[in-house]
Amino acid sequence: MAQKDSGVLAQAVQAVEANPYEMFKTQVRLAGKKLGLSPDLLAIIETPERVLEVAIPVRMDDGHIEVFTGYRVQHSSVRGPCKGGIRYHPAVTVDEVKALAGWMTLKCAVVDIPFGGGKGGIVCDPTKLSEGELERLTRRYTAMILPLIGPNRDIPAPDVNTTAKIMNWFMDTATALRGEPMYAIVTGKDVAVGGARGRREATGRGVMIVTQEVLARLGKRVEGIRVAVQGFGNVGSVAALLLHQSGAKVVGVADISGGLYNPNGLNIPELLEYVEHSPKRLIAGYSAPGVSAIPAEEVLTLDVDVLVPAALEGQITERNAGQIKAKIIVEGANGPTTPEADVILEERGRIVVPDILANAGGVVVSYFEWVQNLQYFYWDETETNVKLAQIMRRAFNDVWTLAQEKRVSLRIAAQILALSRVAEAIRLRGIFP
Amino acid sequence: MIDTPSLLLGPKVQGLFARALAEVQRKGFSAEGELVRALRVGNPWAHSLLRYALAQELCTYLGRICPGIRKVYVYGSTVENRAGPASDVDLILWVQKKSGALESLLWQVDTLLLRGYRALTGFSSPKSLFDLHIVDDEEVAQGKGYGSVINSLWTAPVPLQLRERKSLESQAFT
Repeated sequence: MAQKDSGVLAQAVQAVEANPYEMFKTQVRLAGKKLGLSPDLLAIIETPERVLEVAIPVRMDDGHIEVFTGYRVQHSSVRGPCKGGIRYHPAVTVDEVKALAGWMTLKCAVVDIPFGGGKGGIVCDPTKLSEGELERLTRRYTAMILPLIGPNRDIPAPDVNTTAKIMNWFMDTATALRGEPMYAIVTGKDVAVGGARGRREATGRGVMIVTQEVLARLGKRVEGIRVAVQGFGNVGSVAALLLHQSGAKVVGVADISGGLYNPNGLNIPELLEYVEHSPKRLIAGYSAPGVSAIPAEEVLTLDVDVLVPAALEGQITERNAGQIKAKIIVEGANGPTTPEADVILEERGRIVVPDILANAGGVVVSYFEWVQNLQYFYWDETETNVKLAQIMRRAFNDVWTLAQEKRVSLRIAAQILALSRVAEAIRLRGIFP
Repeated sequence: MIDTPSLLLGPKVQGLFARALAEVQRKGFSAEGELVRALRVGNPWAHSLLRYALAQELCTYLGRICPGIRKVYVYGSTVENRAGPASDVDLILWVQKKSGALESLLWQVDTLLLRGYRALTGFSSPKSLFDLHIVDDEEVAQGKGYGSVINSLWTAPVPLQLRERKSLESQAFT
């Protein structure tokens, strides 16, 4: 008996390890409690509609066959076809994909686009694959999940370690296998093969739009406000540029190579030009009058009005949340604020525009890409940007209004709003049979 | 890699759970097999000790990150040494001002601890480990809702130790 009990404590401690799908369900239950949703309804919302696991045999360059594991999870199609990216990463698990698919359902609901949530992934290390192996992996994965996906069922998109080129292969494979053009089966493609103009800038543009909106609610204008941006990739650099063009002073930026600070405002177009020509597209080495190099983490605690964390998750923690001076934090990245930091920021009266809303510009323009593919009618970038602004402003207003009514944070309001939209759709459609 | 910082809670809550187990072992169940058996047969002393230790560790954890917490009280079966496998831990958190972020954090921590509790005891109940009530200054001052329980002679909630924030700032919380 004693031998049988040995190791139980260690196993119990191990069981406490956070599981992404459990965390998703916890968020849904809490928001559901605030909405007064029934346990039956919550059980539907918590559980993905379909979970597909596929084996993907790939002939490697040296001739041997390697079998990879892939997943596609369709969390909810109650508001429209499932929508969500595909990631290639060694740490992909089915519970992670289930959680991410659930969060996509909520994200699409917050911005009120007619999609449910989905997500996919392949357990692989793409850095160790040749381009040929990567292409064969993508094409076989497409073939394996093709019975479940389609323009009116489930529309994948790029995610971690997947690119426009991979989406092009995905579309091409689906087209070949179905024998008809399948542009609308995937978004995030290159413009020449059905991609949307303005897609690359969409998330950063969305960040800029919600920043304008939150400032307007506080009776402020963008002109002259001081901004710090962490991350200078697709999201951070675009947000920095658009805020700079709107008259904001972007006084600090950072990426993995370090931080830059100029109390009078950085010349963002010039910095972008520098990054464009630097070998690794990093900001390190940039110099200009008045600009000083600072440690990357210091950008989070600069004396600014608005902080845009647009790099990785978990950057604002209980260790630095108490030092953040910005009154407004706009989450350009997914999950940059830990739950503990969220408590500290709320106690300190900071306004956090949550990721589910702030960085939804990307999925909104994915929606536009899908619409254009279905219609074979392509918009210019201005039209995309105008429509993106309409949707983001409306979504921000919905979340802001609900937060005021219920006296909750924007994060809680966004979750409640999303869940209420999903729940309403389930109620209206009823349960089959 | 994973788009949720809530996963970063895992190691911290694992530490919290491990320290609670160590405390229970220190207080009377030094042998692992003895503790596991006592919990699995529903020994009230073991269950009460475990719940009290978890409540204390939760309190310490919250004291470190939430300057707005005034006191944390535990009451009911845990302090009366009559907790069973399905008992939850009755807690009252007295805060300056209620916060949705705090409530959300507590739900997430509870979810994680419950996984450990189930693995340890083999029981599938309770549905949540903590029955947690957050009260603010106004509710305590006016004796509203659970604010009235704090000063109740009948319930007699026991205040847990909220460690000094400063003394904990330099400690790694793993």
